Amino acid sequence: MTSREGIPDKQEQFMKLPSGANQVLELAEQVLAGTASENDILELESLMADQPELRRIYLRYALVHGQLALTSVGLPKIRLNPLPSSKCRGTSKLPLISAQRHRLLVLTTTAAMVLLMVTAGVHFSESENQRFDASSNALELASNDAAAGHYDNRSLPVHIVGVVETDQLRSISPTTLTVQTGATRLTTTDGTDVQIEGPAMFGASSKSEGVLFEGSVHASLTRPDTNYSIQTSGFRVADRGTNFRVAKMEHDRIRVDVIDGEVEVQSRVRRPLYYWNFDDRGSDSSGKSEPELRYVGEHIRQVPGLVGSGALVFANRNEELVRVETGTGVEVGTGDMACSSGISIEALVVCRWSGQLKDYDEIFRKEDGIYRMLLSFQNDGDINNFDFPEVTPGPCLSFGLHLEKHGYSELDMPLDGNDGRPNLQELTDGRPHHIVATYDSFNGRKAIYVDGRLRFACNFPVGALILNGGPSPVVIGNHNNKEPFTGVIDEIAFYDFALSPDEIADHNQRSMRGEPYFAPESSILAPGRWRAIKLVNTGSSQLFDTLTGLAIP
Amino acid sequence: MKEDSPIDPDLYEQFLGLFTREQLRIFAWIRALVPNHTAAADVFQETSLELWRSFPTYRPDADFLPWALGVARHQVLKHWRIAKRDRLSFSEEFLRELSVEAIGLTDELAPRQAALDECVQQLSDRQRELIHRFYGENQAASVIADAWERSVHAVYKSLKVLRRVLLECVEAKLSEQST
Repeated sequence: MTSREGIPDKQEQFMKLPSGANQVLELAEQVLAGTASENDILELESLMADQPELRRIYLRYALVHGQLALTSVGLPKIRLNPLPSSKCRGTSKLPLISAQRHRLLVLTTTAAMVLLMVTAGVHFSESENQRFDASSNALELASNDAAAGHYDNRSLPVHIVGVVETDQLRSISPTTLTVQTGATRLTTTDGTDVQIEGPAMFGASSKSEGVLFEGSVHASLTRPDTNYSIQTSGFRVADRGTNFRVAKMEHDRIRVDVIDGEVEVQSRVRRPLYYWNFDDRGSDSSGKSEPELRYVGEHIRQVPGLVGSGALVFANRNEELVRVETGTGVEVGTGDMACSSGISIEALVVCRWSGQLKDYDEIFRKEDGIYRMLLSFQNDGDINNFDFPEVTPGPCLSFGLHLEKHGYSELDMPLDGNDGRPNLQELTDGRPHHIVATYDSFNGRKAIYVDGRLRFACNFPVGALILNGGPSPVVIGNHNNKEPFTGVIDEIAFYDFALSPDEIADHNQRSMRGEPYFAPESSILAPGRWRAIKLVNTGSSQLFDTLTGLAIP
Repeated sequence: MKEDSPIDPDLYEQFLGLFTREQLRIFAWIRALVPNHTAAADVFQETSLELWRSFPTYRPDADFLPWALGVARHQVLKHWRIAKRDRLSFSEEFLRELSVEAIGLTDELAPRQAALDECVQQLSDRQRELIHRFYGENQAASVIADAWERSVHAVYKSLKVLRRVLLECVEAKLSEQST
């Protein structure tokens, strides 16, 4: 049992605590910290058994613990609604989480936390126990952390998107469903009824959207206040009615049948969800034109941009980083940075990384436990065995992502100069390099491009959805105050789809000329993510060519 | 449901409508009681099935969520009964008593949250950062200790002081309001 110094008597007097209250609070603290022994539990129960007042004190203390996560300081910054491109560089702030939803969180979490404490010693999860273990062996943990590259390997909660009815009801997180024969019914948490008609492969990516990889799917909306859309490669069919079917055909075609109401067929606006050019940091800790960025560390300097008027110089200092204070969500699969069918992370860097063993230089990282995503220079001797495909340990450029059914893995591109890959000297030659990492669930390809050319890739099965998003903020140029970047970072763009090789080559050429990734007339600040192609009305069918994006008469 | 099981379509639609609306809250409630995500998903799975099986006993004029949480609570307790052999716990009799006390706190939730919000604002920057890291970001004490270059024990001690100070502050504010 640990020592119990207790709170001074004057506090007991101030709070008018009954006799034995401090002892209860001390023991309650052991329960909260996960350090209560069997004797502690017995003593606590004995103290409170015939003392209702002590039980109330215990529960009120538990309530402080439960409600702290719901205070303005404890709540992670949550913003709703996908961020339109116009907000990426703009100054207007997105609406904060609604009061109603906030209240819902307050009530459910609080009730849960009170009951959590009711169950006292029984409620601590494996992670809590691990936390206690860590406290008893802090030095060893710190050492392991350093060796492991400071990975947070918690399995965070994943958003539930619906209930699948097979031989039983089964709630599901984002997942790809393969139906061989017959039909499988999915009811989304929004109440939309989705029939997946086998043979088919369908990604249930969110409560309001699915991804059709093969076969056909029939969506029927049951509530007028909800929307549902079905995405195929480059296309999206968004409901404007209640009842429609989408089928993937041969020869890169899709067919849309509208049974009731109407649908809008849309093509993707191929612009980033987020685009930070670091052109106007200003003198304070936040950017003027990019208010969602928080600069941490006094020494991050702004220099003339590789493109535009500004870029950031990182000097390998642990305290330096840029935190992105938007895009987070409550659970994995939520937040503006949660992707499903594809992703691209693009940056322009001057790299001065040492390449030495155990040295990490982060470009971009969002650490949501095992659902993290990262783009970084690493040389860790493959201690975590995250590399897929397996590569020889050494300096590499790493692209980490969690794919559903496959887990977290890193595409570690060896910087060895072989097979078209760059070597360390090439990337650290003091000149700007254009780096892009992509993943596309429609072909399963995960790839790294440097200076406009594909340099390294691997393939996963078609249909593997990305699992990312969640409560952690993106950090640019560092991770955990241990992996600072050395060099210049400019023009970071984040997309919820995979850029094509042609687009990447074009972006590279433009950036090497000192121009933004996009031609001025193409409007970076496109207001939406999807552009309407055609409305299809009740009783009609329409074929579309997924390559040209055109309706076929 | 198996295809050969007779299903009343109206009942099923009614269930799905209620269940889909509340299932996130149910799942969140279960997950808080069973923090391990995989275990919580299993309990939720069992709860979903049990809710459908028990749905004929649900009275349409009653709130669905309390009824559903009652069903979920049984599943949670069942889970912990199975898990009890390797975890520490109060006795079942005591847990029942404490549950009654917990229900008695329902009316205090809102004023206590409001008071706590005010109290948190009076903390130092360092203490607020600790709350943000530990409760908001769910950082382990070891991670905070690493970032702050302190021992893990020191972080736990800071958390303890923080919670005790806040309890005192909340009680003082509620006492002021009641006088």
